[in-house]
Amino acid sequence: MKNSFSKAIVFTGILLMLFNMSCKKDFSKISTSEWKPELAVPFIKTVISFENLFPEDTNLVTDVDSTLVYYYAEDSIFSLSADTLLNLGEEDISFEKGFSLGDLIVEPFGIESSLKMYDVLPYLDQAVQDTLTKYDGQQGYFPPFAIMDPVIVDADPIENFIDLTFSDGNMIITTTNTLPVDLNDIEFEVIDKVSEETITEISIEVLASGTQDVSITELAGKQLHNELSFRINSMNSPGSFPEIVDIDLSKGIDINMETTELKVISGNAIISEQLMYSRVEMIDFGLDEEKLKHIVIQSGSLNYILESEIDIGISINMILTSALIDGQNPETDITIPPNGSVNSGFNVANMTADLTSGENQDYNLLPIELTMIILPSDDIITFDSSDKINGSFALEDLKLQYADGYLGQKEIEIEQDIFDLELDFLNQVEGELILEEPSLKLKYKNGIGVPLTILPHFTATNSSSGQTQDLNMGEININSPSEPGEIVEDSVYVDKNNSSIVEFLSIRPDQVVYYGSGITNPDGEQYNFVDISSKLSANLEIEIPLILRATELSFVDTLGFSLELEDMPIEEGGLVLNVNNGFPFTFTMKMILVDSITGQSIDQIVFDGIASASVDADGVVINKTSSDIIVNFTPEFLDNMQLANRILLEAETSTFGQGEVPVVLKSDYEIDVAISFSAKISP
Amino acid sequence: MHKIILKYYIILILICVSSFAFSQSDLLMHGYHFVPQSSYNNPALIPDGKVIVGIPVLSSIAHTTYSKFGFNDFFQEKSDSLYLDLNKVISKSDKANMIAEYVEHDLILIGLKIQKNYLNFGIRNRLYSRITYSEGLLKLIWNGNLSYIDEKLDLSSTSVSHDHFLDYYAGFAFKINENIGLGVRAHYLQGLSSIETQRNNISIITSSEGDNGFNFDANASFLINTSGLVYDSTDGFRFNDYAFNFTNSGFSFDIGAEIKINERVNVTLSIIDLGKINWKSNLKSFESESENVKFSGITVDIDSQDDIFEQYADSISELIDVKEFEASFSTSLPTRVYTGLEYYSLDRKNRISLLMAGLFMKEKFIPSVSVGFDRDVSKHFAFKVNYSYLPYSPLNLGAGFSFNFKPFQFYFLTDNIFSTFLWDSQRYFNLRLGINILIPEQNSIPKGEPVFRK
Repeated sequence: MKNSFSKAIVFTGILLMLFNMSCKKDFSKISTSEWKPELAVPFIKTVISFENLFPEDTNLVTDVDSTLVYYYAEDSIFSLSADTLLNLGEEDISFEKGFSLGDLIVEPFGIESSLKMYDVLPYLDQAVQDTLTKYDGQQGYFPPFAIMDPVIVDADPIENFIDLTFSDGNMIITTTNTLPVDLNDIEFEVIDKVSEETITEISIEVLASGTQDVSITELAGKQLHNELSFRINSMNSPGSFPEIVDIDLSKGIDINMETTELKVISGNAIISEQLMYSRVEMIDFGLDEEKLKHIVIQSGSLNYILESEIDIGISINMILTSALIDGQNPETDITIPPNGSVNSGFNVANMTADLTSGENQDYNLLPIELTMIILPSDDIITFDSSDKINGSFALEDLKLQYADGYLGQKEIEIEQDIFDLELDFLNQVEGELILEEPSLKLKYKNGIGVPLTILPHFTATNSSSGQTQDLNMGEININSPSEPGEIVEDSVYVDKNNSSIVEFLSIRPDQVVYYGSGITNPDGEQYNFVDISSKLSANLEIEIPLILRATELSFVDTLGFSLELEDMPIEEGGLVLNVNNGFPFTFTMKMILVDSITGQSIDQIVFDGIASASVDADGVVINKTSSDIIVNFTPEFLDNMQLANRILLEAETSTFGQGEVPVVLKSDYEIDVAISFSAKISP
Repeated sequence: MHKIILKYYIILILICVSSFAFSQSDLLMHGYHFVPQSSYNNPALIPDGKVIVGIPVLSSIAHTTYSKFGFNDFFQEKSDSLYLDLNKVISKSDKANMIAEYVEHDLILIGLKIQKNYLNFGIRNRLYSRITYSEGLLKLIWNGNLSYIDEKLDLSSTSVSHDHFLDYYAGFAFKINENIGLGVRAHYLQGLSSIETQRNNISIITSSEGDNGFNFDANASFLINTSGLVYDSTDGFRFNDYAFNFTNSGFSFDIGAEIKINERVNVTLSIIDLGKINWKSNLKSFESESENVKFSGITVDIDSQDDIFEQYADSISELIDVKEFEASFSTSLPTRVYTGLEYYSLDRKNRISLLMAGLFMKEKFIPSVSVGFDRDVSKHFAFKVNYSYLPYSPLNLGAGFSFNFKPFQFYFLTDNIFSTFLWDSQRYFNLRLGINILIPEQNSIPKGEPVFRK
C-alpha cells in the first residue's frame, strides 16, 4: 500500500513538473506601444455671421435690405430744457403805488335856529320896543321896525366833526318869516365861530310874512368848524298897518341850515364807511424783450406790503382778475389798521394768467383789481386827502410752468463735452479700409415752441495716433412745434456731400469732442410757447453702411490657452477645415502659439486659401465658395502647444477682387465652418 | 476633454468586450464513472462507490475557458516584452468571436448507492460567462475609425452573458433492466447575479462628406439587463445579501440514459441544463435612449463664452444617453446534449469511447467531438485520455486520472493537457480536480491491491 501511494506521489510530481515547465510570461512587461489607433472625430460645426465676429458690438444693426449698418448712437448730445427759456431773471416782478385817501364823503349836517322878536327887541328903536311889548299877545298894528345893530344868533355845536375842509358840497340856508308882517332887506352872515370867518352871506330883499327864502352856498374850498353863528346885519319891516295882526313876540324868523353832497379833503370828523379806492392796476413784468401773453405759474407767491398813513382802518380787497387758480380768480382781503401796515402774500402756484389785458399793451401785464374801503370811525379822526397807503406788490420766486408770447432772442450755449466713439469694428482691424457711404444723423425731438438755430462743432480724435478731424457741418435750424403739446421729431442728415464725414471716420476716432452755440427766434419776433416739461434733446446717430473696400485688412485676436497634453496620448494629428464662405472676403488664417515665458511666437499653422464668395456688380454676394483645408499637426507643434499660454488668431483678408470692388456686407452672409480632427493616439 | 473621450472609448470597449460566456466542458469526464462528478454530464451514470461525500469546495474545482483566440494571438513576444498586437486577431476574426468561461465548485455533494440505484444531491456554485466580440469592435479598438471612413463597423454581434448561481440539485439514477439505465436530476437554481445583453444593434459609420467634415452615423440601440450587481452606495457589497438572496430563482432538469447494447457496447444519451432562471431582484437595466445617432460635431455659437470642450463632452454624453430602469428578466441555461458510444474490452477494464456533444446557446450551436480511451488500472487508479475537436480549437489532447485511497479519492481531469503548460497558445482550457470521500462498495478495494497493475 505504501509503495502504491509512493508511486501515486511520483506520478503527481511528474504532472507538477509538467506544469512548472509550462511557458512563463512576465506580465509586467506587457506593452501597448504598438497600439496606435487613428481617430477621425467631428468636432465643431458653426455658422459665422458678421454679428458673430463682433458679438460685443451692439452697434452692428441690420438695415431693411439686410445690409449691415454700423450704427452708433450717443444720446443727449445736447439738450435744452424749458427752464432756460422760462427763466424770467433773478429780479422779482414788482409794482409799487401810493393810494391817496382822496376826498371823503361826510354825512350831511344841519342847524336850526330861530330869531324871536324878544331877541330882536333890544336892537330896535325904543318906541317900537315899547309898542311891541305892549301889544305882545294882542292884535294890533304891527309897527314898522328896523334893527339898529347886528343881531348875532349862535347855533348849537355840530357833534360829528370839529372842522372840515370841503372839496364839494352845498350849504342850504332856509330863512322863514314867521311874523305877521313882511320883512325887508334881510342881510345876514353865516360865521365860523372858531375861525371867525364868514362862510356865506345871505341877502333877502323881501321876505313876506309866512314865506321862506332858500339860499344855497357851495362849500368847495371852504373850511368849516362845527360851531356856527348867524349875524343878522339888517332887517326891517314896514309893519302891518292898516291891517291888524296878531302880535306875538315869540315869533320871528327861523334860519335852517342844511348841507348836501359833502366831500371833504381834510378835517377832523367822524368818518362813515365809504369807498376809498377801486381800480384795476397792472403789474408789469418789466421784461426787456419778452412779450408774454399767457403764463402758468408753477410756483411763486404774490407778496404785498401795505403801509397806511391814514388815521383810520382800511379794508382792501385784491383780485387778480385775469388769473385763475382752480377756476377761481385769486382774491384776498386785507384790513389795515389806522396808521398800520400789512406785510403778507399768497401762493400763486398753478395760477394761469392772461397778460393781455392792458389797454395799450397786450403783454406782460397782470391786472390786479384793488378795492379799498374806509372803515367807519367811532371817534373823530383827523384826516387829509393826501394821506395815503403805500402799496408794494411783488411776484416773488416765480417759476413758470408755461408761457406763450414772444420769448425774445436768447443765446444758447452747448457746453463742450466728450463722448467715446466705440467703433469696435473699426478699432479691431488694421489695414486699408475705405467706407463708401458713412453718414451722421442728428436726431432731435423738440417740444419747445421756440424756433432755434444751432451751430454744432464735432471734432474726432484718435487718441492713439493723435490725429484730429473736424466734421465741418453747417448751421442747423431746429424746427419747433406749432402748438403746445406737439413734439416735433426731425433729423439733420450729414453725409459726405455736406460734411467731411469720410475724413472724420477715416482717422478711426475713439473720441469726439463737441460743443456749439445757438440762438432762439433767429428771425425775430414770433409766437412762442414753452411748457416746463417740454425740452429739446438731440441724439447723435452715426450710420456706416458696411459698403467698403479693403485690402490686406488684418484682424488679430488673442485667446487664453491652456492645454494639458500630458494625459492626452496624441502623437500627431490633423485638423480638417471645411469652409463654405458666404463673405465677400478672402481669408488666410494663422494660429500662432505664443511662448508663455518669452512671449515669442514659437510655432504656427496656417489655414491658407479660404476663397471669397462671388459677388455681383453691386458688390452683393451671389454664391458661397467652398474651400477644404487640411492642416496637419506635427508632434513638435503639439509639444509647443504645451509651452504656449496664448494663441494669436490672425486673419488677413481682402474684399472680393483684391479690394477693387466695393462690397456690401449683409446680415445674411454666413460662413459655414465644419472642423474635424484626425489624430493618432497612443493609449 | 481627452479624458472624457477616453472614458467613452473605454465604455465602448467594455460594452462590447465584457460579455461572458460558457463553453463545452468536461468532454473527458463524460462517462468517467470512476469520479462521482462524471454524473454531472449524464444523470443516468452510476459512479463507483457506495457512499460519496464531497469535501466542501475541494471536491470539485472546475474551470473551462474557450476562446476564438489564444494569448499568443493577442500578444507578440519581442525581446523579453509582450506587445499587444491585434492585427493577427483582426485578420482571422469572424463576424462574432467568443471568449467563454465556466466555473464550478461543489459546495456539498452526497451520493448514495441504493441497491443498483444512485441517489445524489448537493449544492454547486456555478458561473457561466460569455463574451462575444465582433470584428468591427476589434478594428475600432486597434485601428481607430480613421482607417474605416465610409465603412460600417458592426458591433452588433458583441454581447455579454453572465450568470452566477447556486445549484441545489437532487438526482436519481436507476436501472430499468439490465440493459437500460435512466437518470434524472432536478435543480433549484438560486440566482446570484446576471448580466444579459438582450439587444445590441450598435454599429457605426464614419463618413466624410465634403463640407461637413467627418460625421458619425451610428445605430446605438442596445439593452443590457443586470441583476445582483447593484449595491447600496453606503454599505457596498455585502456577501450575505449576495449569497443568501433567494429572490432570483429558477429550475432546470438533466436527463440521461445509458443503454447497454451488448456486453461490449454502450450507448449514452443525456441532456443537461434544461431550464432557466428568473431574475427579479436587485435589478438594473441599461437601454439606449436613441436608436440612431448622427453626430457631425457640435454646433456652436462662436459668441458663446462656454467652454467648447465642455459643450463637446456634454453633447457626447447626450448622444450616448443611457436610460436606466428596473426590469425583471430571465436567462436560459445553455443546454448541453451528449451522446456517446462506448466500446469495452472483454474484461471491461478498457474502454474506447466516442462522444458527440452540442451546446445550445441563444444564437449559436457549438458542436464537438471527442474520442477517448480509459482504463481501470486498479481499484486505486484509473485514467483516461482523449482527443477532442472543438470549432475554435481542433486539436485537444485530454488526460485524466483518479486515485482512490480509501476513503479519499483524488482526481485530475483536463480536456486539453497542453493548456496546462502551453497555455499561451491554447484556445481551450479545461481543468477539473478535487478530493472526494468515497466509500467503496464492501471489499471492492481489496487490501494489497496495487495502484498500477503490472
